[in-house]
Amino acid sequence: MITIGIFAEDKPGVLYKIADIFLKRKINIESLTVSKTERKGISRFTITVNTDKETVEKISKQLYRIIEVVKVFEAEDKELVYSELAFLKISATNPLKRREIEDLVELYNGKVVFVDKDSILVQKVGREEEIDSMLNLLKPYGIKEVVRTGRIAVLKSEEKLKGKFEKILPSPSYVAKLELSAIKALEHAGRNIKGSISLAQGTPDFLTPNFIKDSAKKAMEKSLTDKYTSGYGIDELRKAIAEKVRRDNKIKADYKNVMVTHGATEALIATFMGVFNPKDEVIVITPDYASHITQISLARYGGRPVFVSMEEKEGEWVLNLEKLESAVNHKTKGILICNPSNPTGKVFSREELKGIADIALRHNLFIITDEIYEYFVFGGKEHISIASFEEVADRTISIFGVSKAYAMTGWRIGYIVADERVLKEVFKVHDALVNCPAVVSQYAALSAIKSGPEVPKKFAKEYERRRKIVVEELSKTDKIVLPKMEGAYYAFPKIKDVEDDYEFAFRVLERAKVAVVPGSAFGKGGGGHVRISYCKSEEELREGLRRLVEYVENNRRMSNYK
Amino acid sequence: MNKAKSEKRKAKKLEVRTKPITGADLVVRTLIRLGVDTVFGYPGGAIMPVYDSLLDYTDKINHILVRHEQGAGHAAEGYARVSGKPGVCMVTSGPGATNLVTAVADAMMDSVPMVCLTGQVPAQVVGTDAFQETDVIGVTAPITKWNFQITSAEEIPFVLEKAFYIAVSGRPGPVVIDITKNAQFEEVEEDKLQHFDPKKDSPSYQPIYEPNKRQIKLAGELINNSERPLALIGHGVIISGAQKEILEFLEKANIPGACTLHGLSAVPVDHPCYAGFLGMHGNYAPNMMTQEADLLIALGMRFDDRVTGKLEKYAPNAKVIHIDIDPAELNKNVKAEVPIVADVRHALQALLKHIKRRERKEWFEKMRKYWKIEEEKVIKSQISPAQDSIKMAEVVRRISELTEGKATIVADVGQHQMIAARYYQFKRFNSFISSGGMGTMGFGIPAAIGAKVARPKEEAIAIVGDGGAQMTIQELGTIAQERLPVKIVVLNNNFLGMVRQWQELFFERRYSFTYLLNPDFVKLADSYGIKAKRVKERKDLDKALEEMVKTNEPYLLEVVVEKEDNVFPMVPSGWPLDKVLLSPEGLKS
Repeated sequence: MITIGIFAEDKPGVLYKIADIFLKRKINIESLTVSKTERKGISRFTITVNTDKETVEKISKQLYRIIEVVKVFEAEDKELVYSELAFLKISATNPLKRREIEDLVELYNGKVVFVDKDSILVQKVGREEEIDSMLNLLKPYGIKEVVRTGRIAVLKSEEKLKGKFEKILPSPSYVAKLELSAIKALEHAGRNIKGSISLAQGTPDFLTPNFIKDSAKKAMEKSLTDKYTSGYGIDELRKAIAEKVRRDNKIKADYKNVMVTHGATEALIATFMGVFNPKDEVIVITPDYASHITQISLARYGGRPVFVSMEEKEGEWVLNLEKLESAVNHKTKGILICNPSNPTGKVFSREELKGIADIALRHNLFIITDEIYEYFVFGGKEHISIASFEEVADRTISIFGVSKAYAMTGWRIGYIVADERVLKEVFKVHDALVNCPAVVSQYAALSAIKSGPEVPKKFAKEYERRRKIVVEELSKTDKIVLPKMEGAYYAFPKIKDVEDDYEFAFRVLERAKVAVVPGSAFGKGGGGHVRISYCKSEEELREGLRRLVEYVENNRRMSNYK
Repeated sequence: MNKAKSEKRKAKKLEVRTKPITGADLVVRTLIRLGVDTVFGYPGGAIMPVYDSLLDYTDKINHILVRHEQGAGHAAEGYARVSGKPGVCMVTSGPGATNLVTAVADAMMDSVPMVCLTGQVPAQVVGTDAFQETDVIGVTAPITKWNFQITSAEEIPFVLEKAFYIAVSGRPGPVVIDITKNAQFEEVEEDKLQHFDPKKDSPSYQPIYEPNKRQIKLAGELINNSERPLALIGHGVIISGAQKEILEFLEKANIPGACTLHGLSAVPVDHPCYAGFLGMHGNYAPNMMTQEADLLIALGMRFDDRVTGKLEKYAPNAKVIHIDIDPAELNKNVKAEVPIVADVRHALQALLKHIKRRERKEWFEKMRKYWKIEEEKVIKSQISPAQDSIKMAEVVRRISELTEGKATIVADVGQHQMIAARYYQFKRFNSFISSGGMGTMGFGIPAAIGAKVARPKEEAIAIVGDGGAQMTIQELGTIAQERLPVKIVVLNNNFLGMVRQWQELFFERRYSFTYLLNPDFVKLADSYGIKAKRVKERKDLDKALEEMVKTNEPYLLEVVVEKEDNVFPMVPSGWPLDKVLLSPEGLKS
């Protein structure tokens, strides 16, 4: 058996021409698969034939005569890692037969995927030999149907792919060559490139107000900060928080519903680990804060993220409730939303939140919110906490923080507001993780929260001004679709004609010296977008945006392969 | 040459329209911009809009109406073979396109650059078995270098530019572009459309022209050390325009060179290094020398079975250097010690630097000895026959003398083709056009039309058999309408000659359906208003030929030749080259 791999332009008629080369020499194609590849616009055919090496060599040369064919390689089994997928429908007329068949299937690491009254549908992934062996053993039971995909194969060594092939096409992904994750690499690169402006990080340049720092100093002087406190946080802080959520978020809570954490970050991880099992599914509405995704999956015990992407219409992101509900199954345990959203800047409407609440009720799910940007809403929008809906209050775990509201990102204080019984579970993890949040920071947070919403509202006014600048600058080009910026301090525009946003982000940094975050980092729906943070100073923001617009205007043909 | 330059000037003057234009208009304008000065075609429903646009550009592009689409295809081939520019033909959908298939397959086999535009039913009705609808793309996929169906006007410039690029680059070949009628009617703005850039838009097709330096060095060494080398000169030498380089090479290295059918006229027949015509009906010397050679230098030829005879017994003592622009040909039929992917001219230029002269007196002596044998046993009796009946060879030789070996000879297919290849004394580079790989009967007359249009100042003489002539005889109409001074010599033996020869030699003279009742060719030509004459006796031959050559008008000369004449030497199909037959007696032994 010889496997022939063909890379060709993804255009109509290529399969016809390739098949004809085999037909001409009356060679029967044993199996044929074709699919997309890592390179845009290039398809990969995998064909197996039973003929001698010489003939295959001649066929390969003739394949190159087809204008659309880019690369051909032939290989024997030993040079490849190969596999195929088979569906086998086996007759099983009684439960004992079914037992026997399923035992056999288990032996071969197959999977039963469907059962009806007199047959079992088995799925097996593996080499042809394995599938053939399993088929053989199942023959006595009566095989009703066999469907196989045909082999796909990857060369063990890249030698055969070297040469002209590599030079002809741009490398599949800029990112493949990187040692770090794309976002970190971008940040690093930004630092190394002199004179570059970063619109990538979401850290505002405001300083913590002095009165808050003073409170911390006083607490230290009074030696209040020297020892452990309760893991839930000091009572005054919990009480102040309860008052705040009653006032600003309309959530009916008292201090027993509050747990102070080491930043909203720790709140999230402790929540996932405390409330979910590893096989539970958590629906994440994307595009979403990249770390949520990491937190859920890296945490291993925090459940499995299932992504439901919003839909974008002319710069506005809309949640399709039907789509959301169709992603719910018996394994789903929770829905996570970031509201206001990072990176899209979306502020969920009452209707959308009611819809989510409704789905959570009907399917008995938790709702987890990350409301870190609660005070930054624009354009007449209102921030609504879903926990304010009484019918779902007990199943909602709302997570807040002081980092953005009071410019206290370095102080590491966040808080969870949830039903007491839920908090108890989360506490088990929280306690093991941090013991208690940093006490000096708790006192700082206390004075911040007690001071009310004036400070964040002041910041919001500043962000409003900068938001206007973003609109002004981005309107200068039609190649960037102006996004709706309802909340947080992020703009998430789509760049026209850009498919690979990672590559785009690197090129923009390299050539225009401005860093933005590639949209793909934020999950499904983010491709082709970039995230711009407008929490920077006005000067930097304007200049950064100007550079971006200039780059986009000067490079109208931007797809890396057409 | 001058015509091409003035053509280019005319083309550049085509100013870009500011108002929207139709797809049909855009097709014509794109052709003009690409340097096309002549289109051979036949109108029909699906291509009418383009035909209408043609009328607005008659000062810039010439259209020649044929009488059958196959004629348009062969004319485009003849045009391309002679000029080196791609031949362009334009036909309608359905039967128009299918009538072109033979010519397209012919161009594919003989590596002729050609762009064929076929009309097609509107895109909305494609696939509904509409009137005159055929799946041209499906039908021509295996016989074209590339094909494409244009379904919207904005694709036109990009696709046509790509088509021309593919047709002429690398190993030339035919490209079929199917244009749906709606695309011809659509309006577009000319300046807003995308153009084809071979560097950016053709990553998968990158022909190699420059040879690998290491391989060239190896080849040079082999050549310098060989005692009995033979150069095999193929079509590639002509396509790459290596007129100077091939002679330099043969002379510098002191090697004999023999030509394949399409390589004929690459080397003047009277050159001291010229070894002759290779293959089944080739000269004795090249075939014998191939079997005795210690090195074969294959230049732009593909070791076709007509040239090699029995592959297992081919050139048993020779190492092979194979230079060809198509990598698929290397090591396809014959194993090559030194395969080189390159344009032959570039390869020869590189090779020349490594070549040293070596005396090969004995080898050249052998060559002359073999020529002598052939002269005695075959050639003499063919060009100066004893009997009364006129032999095809003497007609061809006489034409050769009258034209000083400088005319463009276009042969049809059959015995007369082999005779034309053998007995015309080619002195001018690229002056022999014939259908080789496909052996398409009917090629001669329309190809001669194309050749004459491409080089109007040169004599174009079609040498055709009575069988082949009748396959495309309708093109006499084209000649008459265009008043093209094409000369047609019909060698009439009332037989499908080559098949009859095989039936005589291998089927015990059982002539199954090879006898032809022919029309009166003279009366036929006359009915078109074309001057014509018939020669039945030797004494009238000279005068008639002289008259034909002197005329500056279309002319048909029918020569009644010996009915059961055979072409020798012959290497019967599947026989080894050294078992070549010099006469039918050879078969009996």
